[in-house]
Amino acid sequence: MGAVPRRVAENETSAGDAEPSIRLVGVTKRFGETQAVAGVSLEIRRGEFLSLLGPSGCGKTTLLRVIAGFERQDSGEVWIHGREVSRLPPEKRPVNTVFQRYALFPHKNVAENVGFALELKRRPKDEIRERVEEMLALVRLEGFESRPVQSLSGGQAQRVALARSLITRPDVLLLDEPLTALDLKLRKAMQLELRTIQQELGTTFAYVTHDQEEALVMSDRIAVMNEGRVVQEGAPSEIYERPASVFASHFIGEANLLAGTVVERGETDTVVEVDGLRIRGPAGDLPLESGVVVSVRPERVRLDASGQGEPAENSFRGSIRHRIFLGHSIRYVVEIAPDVLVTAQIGADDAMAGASTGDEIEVTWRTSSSTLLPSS
Amino acid sequence: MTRRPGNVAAVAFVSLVLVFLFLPVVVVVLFSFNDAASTSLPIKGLSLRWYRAAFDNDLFVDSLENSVVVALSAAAFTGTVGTTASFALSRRRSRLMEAFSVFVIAPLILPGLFVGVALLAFFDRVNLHRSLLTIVIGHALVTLPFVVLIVNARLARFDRSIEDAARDLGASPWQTFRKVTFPLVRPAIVGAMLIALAWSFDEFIITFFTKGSGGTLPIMIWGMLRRGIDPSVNAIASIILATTITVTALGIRLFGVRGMTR
Amino acid sequence: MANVELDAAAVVLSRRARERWFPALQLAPVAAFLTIFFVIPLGIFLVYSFWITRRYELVADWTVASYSEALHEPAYRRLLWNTLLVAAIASACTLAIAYPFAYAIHFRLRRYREPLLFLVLLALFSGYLVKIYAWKTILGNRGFINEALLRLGLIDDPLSFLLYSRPAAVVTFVNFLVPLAVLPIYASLQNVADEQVEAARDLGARGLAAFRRITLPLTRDGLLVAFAFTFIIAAGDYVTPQLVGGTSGAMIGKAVVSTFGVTFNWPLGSALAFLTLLAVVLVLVGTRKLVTRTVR
Repeated sequence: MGAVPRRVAENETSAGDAEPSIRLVGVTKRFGETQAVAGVSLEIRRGEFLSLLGPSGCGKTTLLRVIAGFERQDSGEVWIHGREVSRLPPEKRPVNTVFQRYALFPHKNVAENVGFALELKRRPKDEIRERVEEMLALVRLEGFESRPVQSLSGGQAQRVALARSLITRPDVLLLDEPLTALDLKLRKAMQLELRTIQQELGTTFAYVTHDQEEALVMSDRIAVMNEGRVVQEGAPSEIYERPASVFASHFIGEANLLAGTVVERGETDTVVEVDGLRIRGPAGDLPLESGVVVSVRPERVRLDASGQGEPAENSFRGSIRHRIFLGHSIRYVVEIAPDVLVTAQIGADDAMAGASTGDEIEVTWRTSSSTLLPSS
Repeated sequence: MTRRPGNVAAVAFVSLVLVFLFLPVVVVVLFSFNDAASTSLPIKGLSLRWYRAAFDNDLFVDSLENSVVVALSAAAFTGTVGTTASFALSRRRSRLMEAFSVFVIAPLILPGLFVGVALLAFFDRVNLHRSLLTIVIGHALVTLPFVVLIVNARLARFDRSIEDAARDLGASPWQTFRKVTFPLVRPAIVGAMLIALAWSFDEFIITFFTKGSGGTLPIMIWGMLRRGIDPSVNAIASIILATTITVTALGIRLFGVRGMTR
Repeated sequence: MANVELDAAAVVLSRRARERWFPALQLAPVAAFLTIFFVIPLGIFLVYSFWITRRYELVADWTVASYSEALHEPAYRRLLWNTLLVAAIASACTLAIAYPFAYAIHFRLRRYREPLLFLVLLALFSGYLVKIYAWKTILGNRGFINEALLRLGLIDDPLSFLLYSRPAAVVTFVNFLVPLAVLPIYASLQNVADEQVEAARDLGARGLAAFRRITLPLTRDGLLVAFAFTFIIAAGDYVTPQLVGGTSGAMIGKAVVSTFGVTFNWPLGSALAFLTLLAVVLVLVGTRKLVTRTVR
């Protein structure tokens, strides 16, 4: 699955316009005992697809509802297109929302649902009909105008909800895990469709999800959330390659996490001692004696039997504990020291794919493939 | 459904109970068409003479009129007031709201005799002359719980996210109510009002104490029962039955059987 | 920007105010109505029980004379006792029919539950006075049952105990109380997940044991509610004992009505009514304690 081309480069916004679509400053919200949002400051740029990614309960949906106006934040500011909107009710804010369970009006048919916003604005009937047709074509549901909403499948209902929110051509669309209720194949197809529509229209999308793969596939930028805070934001590749915390590392993709202490600090690398092993990580400013976690993605770990592979700064001998067949790749869990396990992922057609449990093997990875994270 | 002995017994038992429950209804209706002036078997011939006799009776026509006026008034009052209260009760769950719900249902828990006599004492003390209005007040007290219960049950099943969706798309709270919430809740409200209508039409004991000079159909029947055998009683009773059963059936269809039994 | 601030302030004020006062406004009519026409009348009714009448006029001489009269007069004591007895029997019979009925619908005839419950609701709302009158004709000497038995040659003279007796009152009560009792029992049955019963069977409990240990305790509250409703209604009824009760089925409602309507002794009537209420409450509380202790 190739990457979908990005419409604008990371730092570029549309024609000289520096004002972000959405700007949150120090937003907090608590519900009774729970602090749902604990101080979030975030900017969403015009025309970008930003995902709010995090586990359930991290506050991402609450944040979305604060932007939409369904919840009033306890403190902080919400700016949409340069206007502070905290005092505006949802119907006056220039954002539309796609709800998790679509929230279609059961007593209206598809056309009436999609045209609802225009009906409220008292647009003439012909105009409404035309625009509804246009929107249904955009979401590839031509001819569905007079269908009752109860007769729609999950995917169809989701598209109607999308059409309904986009008909007024809002500058910003908020989406609250819209694909969760769909089965896997449909979800993947919809991910691409949503992304295409977003790019075609140039609308800013703020997308909430707990599915890290979804976020990686669709977004220009990702804001990772945990326990009411944004713990990292950046482009998908950045977050994937350079997670800034154990949480981010663990939540996005899989990672080998080896906990140890900094014993040497050099100009080109840092040496971390993990259970008697000396592991080299990238140079940085972590203090000596501090606790760190070495994070390496399994696909960056190579297997070597005879010392003939590429030279790498980290190289350890161990024995294979598990071999896991994944179809397109194979995972090996190798014990390089008592209770120190490293997972390597190699292609099914790799030269080393024949290795089996119990074999003695060497695992290697380059310093530049790993990240050092402060522990806790 | 398999023919297990348990199922056969269940069908038999349920059928028997249903026959028992509707037996009085069937008997009354049957005898209302009895040509002979008796309420015992055998039925010799069928005729509509008792119905004609009823409609010829001025007291019947007056009582019927009163019953209709009272029922419509009570239903209209409890329908609006009860629905408004239901919206408040179902939006915010709190101990206060739950206590208030019990408060609303209270008139139904006490025996009708109590409520009727208490109202009599009250009207006397405040010198409120008893009339159709006082009857309506009594009926409203005991039909309000039905309205609140039924509309509450509907609102509990109501998916609030569609209201959020409407607001999100630009609808003000009033527009949301008018275009989204009300159309969806309306069948339950109308159904509840029909139930209130039916109950009021058949209500006797509270009416007995709160009525002035004008009476309702059940009051008329009571009078006839005290005075002796008048076979047109069956016809009048059948008219009441036909009304309450039809109206109730309509009402239940509107708010759904689940509306009352969950 | 200043204008926006002012507008915004007005919106905020009305939004906050609306959120807090609107529900109160929605509840006000009902609250007022109930206070004026329910709470106050009951209050007045209670107060009257502590007054007396002198020459058909109510006098505010605070006393418990009416209560003591009600309690000491043997006729009233008998009547009260009879009331509680008949109501208890009627309730018990009602539950004996309503419980299996609801059980059958939920566990055996679930596919037909909607039409069946529809019929139950219909029966509930299809008359009260009319039904009692109907039983009078069914049970009378020349009524349905007697005529049928005579014709079939099973009896020579009509059975007179069928009407104007305690059994007559009980049958009539049961007839219009069963639909009412079915509702809370059925609701509580829905809390019994099939899996629970199956799990119990799985672990070795045979039919009756599974019922006693799983289903019955879970439906206990539904049963109590059904019992409360039916007991209260039966105890406070006036029409049924009047039309079909005769002497052995006489109940206190008649005494209350006659003191209010005939002798104008309102304090006495009020005292009788509240004494009955107290007795009913005691019975219900006692039953509840007994049931919660034995059904676990």
